[in-house]
Amino acid sequence: MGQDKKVILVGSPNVGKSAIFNALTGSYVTVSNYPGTTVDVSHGNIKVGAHHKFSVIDTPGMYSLRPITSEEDVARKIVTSEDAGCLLHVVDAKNMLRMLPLTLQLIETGQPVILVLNLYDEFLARGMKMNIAHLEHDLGIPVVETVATQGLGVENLCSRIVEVMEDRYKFTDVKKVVYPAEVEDKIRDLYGLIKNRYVLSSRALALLVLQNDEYGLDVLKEEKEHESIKEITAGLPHERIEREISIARHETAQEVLEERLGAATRKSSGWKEGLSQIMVHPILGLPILAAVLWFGLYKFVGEFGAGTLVDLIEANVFEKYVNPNVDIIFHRMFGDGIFFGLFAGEYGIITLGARYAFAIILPIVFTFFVAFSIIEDTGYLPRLAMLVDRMFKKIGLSGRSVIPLTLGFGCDTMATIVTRTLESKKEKIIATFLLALAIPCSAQLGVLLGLMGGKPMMMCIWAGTVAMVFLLVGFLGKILVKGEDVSFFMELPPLRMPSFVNVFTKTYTRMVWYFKEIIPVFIAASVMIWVGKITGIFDILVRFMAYPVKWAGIPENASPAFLYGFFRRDFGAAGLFDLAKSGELGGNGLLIASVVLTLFVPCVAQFVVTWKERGKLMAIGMALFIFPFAFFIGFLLNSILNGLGVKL
Amino acid sequence: MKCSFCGLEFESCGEKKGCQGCSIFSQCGKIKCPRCGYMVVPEPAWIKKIKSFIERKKRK
Repeated sequence: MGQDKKVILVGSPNVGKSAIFNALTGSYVTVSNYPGTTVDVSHGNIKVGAHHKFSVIDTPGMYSLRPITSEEDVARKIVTSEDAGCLLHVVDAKNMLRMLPLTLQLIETGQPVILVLNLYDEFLARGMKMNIAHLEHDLGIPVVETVATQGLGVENLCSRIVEVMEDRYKFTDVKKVVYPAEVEDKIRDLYGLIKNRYVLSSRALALLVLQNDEYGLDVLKEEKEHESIKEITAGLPHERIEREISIARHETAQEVLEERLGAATRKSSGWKEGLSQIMVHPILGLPILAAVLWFGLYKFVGEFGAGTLVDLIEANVFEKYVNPNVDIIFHRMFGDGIFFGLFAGEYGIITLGARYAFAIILPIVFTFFVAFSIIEDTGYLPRLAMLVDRMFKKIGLSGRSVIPLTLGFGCDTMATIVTRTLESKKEKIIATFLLALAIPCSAQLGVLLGLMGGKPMMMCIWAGTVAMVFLLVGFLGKILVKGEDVSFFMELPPLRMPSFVNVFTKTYTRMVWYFKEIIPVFIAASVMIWVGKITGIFDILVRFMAYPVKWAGIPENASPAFLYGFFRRDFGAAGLFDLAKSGELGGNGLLIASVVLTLFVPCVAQFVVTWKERGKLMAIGMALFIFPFAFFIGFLLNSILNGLGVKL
Repeated sequence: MKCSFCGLEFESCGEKKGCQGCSIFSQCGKIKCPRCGYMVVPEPAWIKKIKSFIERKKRK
């Protein structure tokens, strides 16, 4: 009996869905690819007593009925096409809040749903408590707690499955999410036009088409009133509606759990949840951000990486052994001939290129990537996105822009590509521009932090100037670039302790890529400088560069560093590092040079990517604006410092 | 793999086929999260091997 209707297991990855499947079905299961895909789907049977036998399907992990991955797509196809006698939504009891929105979405499909709170032992071990009878009452569906790996609760789950499959459980008062009035009005309009019967309820289908979901639109093609449906949905702000739907489900889940989680739970989920709340708070979150920047970047990258480690490698390895010996060896080989200058001397591939790459950039990017990987692994970045969302709206961006802007601190070129993921054209343009102007890449930032290490006043003026430029240009972008402002919402993943293996893996992989990328650039730059020196072009360019450099109040001998900056900004920063170490820049000169180099034109790779992503007009226009603008800000800062008589 | 930004778990369909858009000399090998677009650093093969070796040892 009951072989027609199936039991379908649904849930996010890593909630123990397969463990539930195995506990229900035993060892007789078949695993096959879902037709037309390489995604595995498991089939089996449940036997309950002597009289009940049902087919069970274990679907791939899914987060919502709006699929992103191929696994989610297959899971949705199964949920929307199979005749489900019962959907088992398996959740990790510890992370119910994140998973309950999918339960609400499954309830909306109109199919019978059982909520399975798996990993319940871990839930209890954290001192959390749940009034399951009350939760069942609130949701209007059966709720069962299980520890699938130990078989706990599985018997109870089987009884509830039988109850549902035999239509003995009445899903009469299920929890309904109430959406904003505008969305509810559209649902009502669509509801009246959907006449056929589908596996999904009319409300669920209406919600899908309001979000411009292809599957929903495709299903409703069969409707007589298809044209009217298209008229209603055409021109709607689908992305905004999708966000509003998502927020409404999240708030409903929060409301249900707020009432039903025991007080002990609220207390014990305490410190992490509390810390998470503080991190996203518009005022309380700022000291945490400041602490992350101060300890993570300034102290660790700036002082330790760019100070201690660079001194160690440069002074003890390159200046003491490598460079003098390279000079001697190549002098013996080429005498004072032109090839000596290619490998050794002031601008040689080894004495300049390799020294910059290994003695200056290596320790800096290493410490930067360690700090970044730790921050990334804790789950702080999405919280940072929520924190800055409000401020970003004032400059035409949303919290989502934190993704490319944060990645920009690793590599601006890659981050420029990531601006593709932003929702509006306006946001893409502003973010691309800000990346090119005011976001220094990892090595450049590290070198600059190292240059200003131990000079907190200088660091504050530098950070303040760059932040002001960032906000001012963003604000002007918001006014000048046409387009709709966007909102941002995301479910926050849990905070976690960073794992050593993750941090090591991320740092290692990033370092390998970084060096594969920069070593050829540094060699190419050294060769071009060598050719330029022989032909005299280098000296001409240095003389040309000296005009804006002097105008901005930077000592003239910094001009070559700005020329290097055209290849890569970190190469230019390394040039400044050399000058600063020999004391040739002075306090004010160092500050202004750091500001100008931070705002300096994008490197060749970023320029090419901007051209590909945003078009040649924007790429060329951006470079033509940024070059004089960077020096103008330097000039302005120099005038203010001189006017106030500030000597750093 | 798991997105370091939004926490989405997804199957990568081959790190080597990642985008080739930005680097001049080498691919960064990062995988774009299909939900939020964050560039996720994949685990190198040798680390995966060490991990599975340790797992096997633990089981024994």
